[in-house]
Amino acid sequence: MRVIIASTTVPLIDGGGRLIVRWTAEAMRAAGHEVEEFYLPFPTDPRPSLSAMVGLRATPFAGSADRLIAIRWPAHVIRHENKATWFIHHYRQLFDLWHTPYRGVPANAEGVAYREALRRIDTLALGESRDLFTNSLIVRDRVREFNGLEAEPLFPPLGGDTSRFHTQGYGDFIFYPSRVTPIKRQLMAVKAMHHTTTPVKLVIAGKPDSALFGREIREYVRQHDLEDKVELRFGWLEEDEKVELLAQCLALAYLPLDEDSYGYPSLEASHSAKAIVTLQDSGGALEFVRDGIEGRVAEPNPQDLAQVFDELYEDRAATQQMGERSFARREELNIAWPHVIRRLLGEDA
Amino acid sequence: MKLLVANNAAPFVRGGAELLADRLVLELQQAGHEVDLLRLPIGNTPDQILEGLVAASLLDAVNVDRVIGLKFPAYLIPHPDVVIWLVHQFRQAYDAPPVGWPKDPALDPLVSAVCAADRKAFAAAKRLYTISPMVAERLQRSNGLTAEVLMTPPHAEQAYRNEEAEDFVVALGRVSDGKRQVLAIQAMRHARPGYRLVVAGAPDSPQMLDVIKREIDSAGVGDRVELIPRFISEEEKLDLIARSIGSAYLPIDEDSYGYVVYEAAMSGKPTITATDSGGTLTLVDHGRTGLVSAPEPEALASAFDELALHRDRARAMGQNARTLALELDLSWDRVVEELTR
Repeated sequence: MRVIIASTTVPLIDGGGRLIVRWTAEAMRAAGHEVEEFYLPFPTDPRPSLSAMVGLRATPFAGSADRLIAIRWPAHVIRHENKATWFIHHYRQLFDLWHTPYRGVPANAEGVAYREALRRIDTLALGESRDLFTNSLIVRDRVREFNGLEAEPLFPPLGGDTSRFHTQGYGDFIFYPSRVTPIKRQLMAVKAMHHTTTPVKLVIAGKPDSALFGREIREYVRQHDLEDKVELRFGWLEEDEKVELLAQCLALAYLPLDEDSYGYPSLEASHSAKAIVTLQDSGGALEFVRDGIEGRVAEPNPQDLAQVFDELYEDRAATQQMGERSFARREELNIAWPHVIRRLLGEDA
Repeated sequence: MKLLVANNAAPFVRGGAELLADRLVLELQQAGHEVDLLRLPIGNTPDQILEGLVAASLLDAVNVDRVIGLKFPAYLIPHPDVVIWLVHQFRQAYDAPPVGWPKDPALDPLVSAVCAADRKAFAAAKRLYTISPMVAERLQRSNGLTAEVLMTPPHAEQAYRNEEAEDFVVALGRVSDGKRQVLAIQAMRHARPGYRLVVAGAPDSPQMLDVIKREIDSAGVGDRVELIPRFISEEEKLDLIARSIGSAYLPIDEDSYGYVVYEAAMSGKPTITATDSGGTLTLVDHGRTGLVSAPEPEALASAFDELALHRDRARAMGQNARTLALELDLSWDRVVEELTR
């Protein structure tokens, strides 16, 4: 099949947003399809312009492939006679974050009308898609709530060659690899280490978004004499180094606040057969991790998190078993490229 | 500099312009710039051409200092700093049929939309270059605009050689209708004795190969034309050029100066081209760096004769051709410098 994957991008910023597109394209090519990727610039203003949206909709893709797959907002407005949309999230400030401080548009008459215009555009573009998928249950529910449409959750797998992931025992440290930023709550993991009573350790790896947050974490470690229990590896983490740490760790921590999807770190832990520690308000991760089965779901405070860390350390057998269930969870949820590609191309599951 | 190279795209089709855009991105990156390539679909039907125009005109290219536009409609992107390196305009809207659209009242509004959008983009551009004198001439004719010519550099610099000429004129390139190898074969019927023609290149189709073979038979020049109907490696090509009296390159209305002409010149060999070959005239100055002949067998035969039977003249023209090619400075360094200054 000839497939166009259309996505939006900010030129010269090669963020995680492009990963899912590139991986999908690679997996489709490996399955024998002819795939072309298109990345159309779209600004990430607090208030996207409606004219840029019209421009995107005007882009003439009709007739030029057997299937067009739109990934990343607002690529779904692109027209094609056989369009599938893999919806990652809404323009969040206007919808699920409307009632939070993240709202970027005032809730006055004009702002409300603007939001309504975008809601209608979304509903039209999602509704005209021949097949509509989301990357999580949360986003499926939001599409139901804001657009009155039924979408099928289609969980994105890790791309590339995943055979590099392996298991090499269950060490004495919890591993938290992620971008270091307040919303990922690395500081709460460090604070938990102040309350642990077992010899369990914590390794945090990733690039701090802001030097300030990195300093705050470092300062906490120093003030509470946690140097022996907490290892901070700030900066870019080499892929093979990450793979080794995943192979050796006791369990993985992934503690974002209210995220849309389970996040790639969860999948990397699963590929390495490691239990995942997350929090009750972490969002999408809870679709992958059930408390006591694939890992642990703690209350979002340092004391409870510390207790979970200690329990994982003390009952290694149970921790290993959760790691094995974490490995098996991908298959249960159909997190696999053959399934994803079949569905994206409109074939039966 | 943060740059966006904007090209158009026909999904699943790759041609010369795609190669050029990829190479430009690479050269700009090597010069230390941050570069992204944008491929904007142009569409197939007239309605879609208009949609593509709208899409490009409303596109918001954030996070770049400059847009380098290559083709319609990509160069329409509104940005305070657009430099256009025009590969070609949307010729359906400008040229006479068959390249241009037939006169049709239904298409008139679209033609004026294309022309209006072009006018606006060309006027707003910080600088306007074309990839060949041919494209610059068309721009002058259709839009009354003068653009600087910034010619496309050759794909790669080669180890050009010059050897004592043997007994043949060489005709290189894909064997196709457009490159008119048939014309060179017909010319050999009228050529004086004492030299041969070597036609070397992959035929476009089996049918094309039949046409060429039949032409050799019917002209009765089997003993004077050597046909090498297959892909010719770079090394083979340079060897054939080096040993030749000169090169015959006879495309119809080519946009660019022709890499084959450039390679002959850099090897110190003259080129014979036709009056209607288009861009080849950039490097072929009649009587100085080669010969320009009417696209007819007899006229072409006398041009072949002149080089083959006056080797000292051919040699001198070859040397002049090399001097001219070097003077044109067809380097990527120059292109990068111009497009980013």
